[in-house]
Amino acid sequence: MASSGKNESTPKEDTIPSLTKEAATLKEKLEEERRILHDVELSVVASRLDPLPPISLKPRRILKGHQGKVLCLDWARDQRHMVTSSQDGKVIVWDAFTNTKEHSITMPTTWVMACAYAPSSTMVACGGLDNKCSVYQLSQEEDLSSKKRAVAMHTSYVSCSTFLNSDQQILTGSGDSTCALWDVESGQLLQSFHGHNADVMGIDLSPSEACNTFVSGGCDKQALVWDMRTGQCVQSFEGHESDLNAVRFLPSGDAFATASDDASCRLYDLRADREINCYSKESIIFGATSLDFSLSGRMLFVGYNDYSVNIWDTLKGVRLTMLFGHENRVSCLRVSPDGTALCTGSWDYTLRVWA
Amino acid sequence: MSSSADISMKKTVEQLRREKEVERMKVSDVAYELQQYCEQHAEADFLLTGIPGASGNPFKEKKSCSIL
Repeated sequence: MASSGKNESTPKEDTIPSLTKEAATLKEKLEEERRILHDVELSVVASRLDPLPPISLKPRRILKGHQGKVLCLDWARDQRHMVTSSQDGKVIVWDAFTNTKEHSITMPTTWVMACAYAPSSTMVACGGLDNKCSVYQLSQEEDLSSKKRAVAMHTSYVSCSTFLNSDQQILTGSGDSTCALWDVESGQLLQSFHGHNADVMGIDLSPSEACNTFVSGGCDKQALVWDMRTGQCVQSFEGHESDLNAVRFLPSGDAFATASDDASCRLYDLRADREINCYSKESIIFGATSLDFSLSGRMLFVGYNDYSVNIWDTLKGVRLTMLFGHENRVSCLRVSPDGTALCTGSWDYTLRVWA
Repeated sequence: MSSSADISMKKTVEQLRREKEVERMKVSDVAYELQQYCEQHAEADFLLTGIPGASGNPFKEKKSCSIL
């Protein structure tokens, strides 16, 4: 509504009381629409499916070498190498097939909470309590620190990071409640994402062709979906009763799952714009820290603070089996790029590869 | 003239307006499509089927096993 230059009063639409009213009305309408579209439960639809055959996964490798809690892991695209980071400040690049350490980087900080392998496999990124995300070029040299470059700078710890589909851009999530997109070469901030009201703990890129969106989970119990080009939050999801620790897209890109300190995981569908499944049991009382899907999305692997990994039927919502072996919290978990193996990292200082 | 409370409230309303524009699907349709995706990709899902692909599963090869 246009107002003449001389008129100093705020237009009616913009006063706090009218905005508050509009917000309340919009929320009501959104809830009503979601209710109407919630015509069936996913788990009920899926109950008609045949149960899955017994899943048998065994530990095939135990990677020992960290001298502190393992906090993060990322597979390389060749599905044999991986980068892992730890509370003791070390970042290690492994050949998981042969169980050998190819590189070891000492960070100038403890609690390296984030690490990521570049798509080209020629560098890795890591960060944590130093409030930065730095990239290291991998080479045969003994001391990789000379090839280090700080890319991301946050005002609190970096909790998660991922390269986009090329080596040129990195996305980070931070304890400063923001996510940010950075140019690796120049360190320039390309886009920042404001919307969470507390620490961001996990991010994941949409696997869809266009790959212009990503999801973030935070200590404000929300999962937010973002448009990378505009920096805007396009969808928001609630439901959890405590901090979100991790988020992961279904391979189809139409839905994502979240792992929370409230001991449950939930599946949120982007097109239905709501939670469509919840993975929990009364007997599970410890927080879920990490999760990933199998290649088809039918299985959901979740790591917990009670040292176990639970495997859930994504559609039916039932637990299929559990994996035991770690002697402390499972902190990170990733399925290999071709879906043939699962790697878990733990506060017991080790990583295990299951297949 | 706008206080930070004003700005914050305006952002909330703008966000809600954006969300209102989103086109939504019924859960029944979405459930069907999720099922379809899982079924179409089930065969290639090695962790599900336990059947190795043409190249086998290197993590299972006995000669490079180094547990313990």
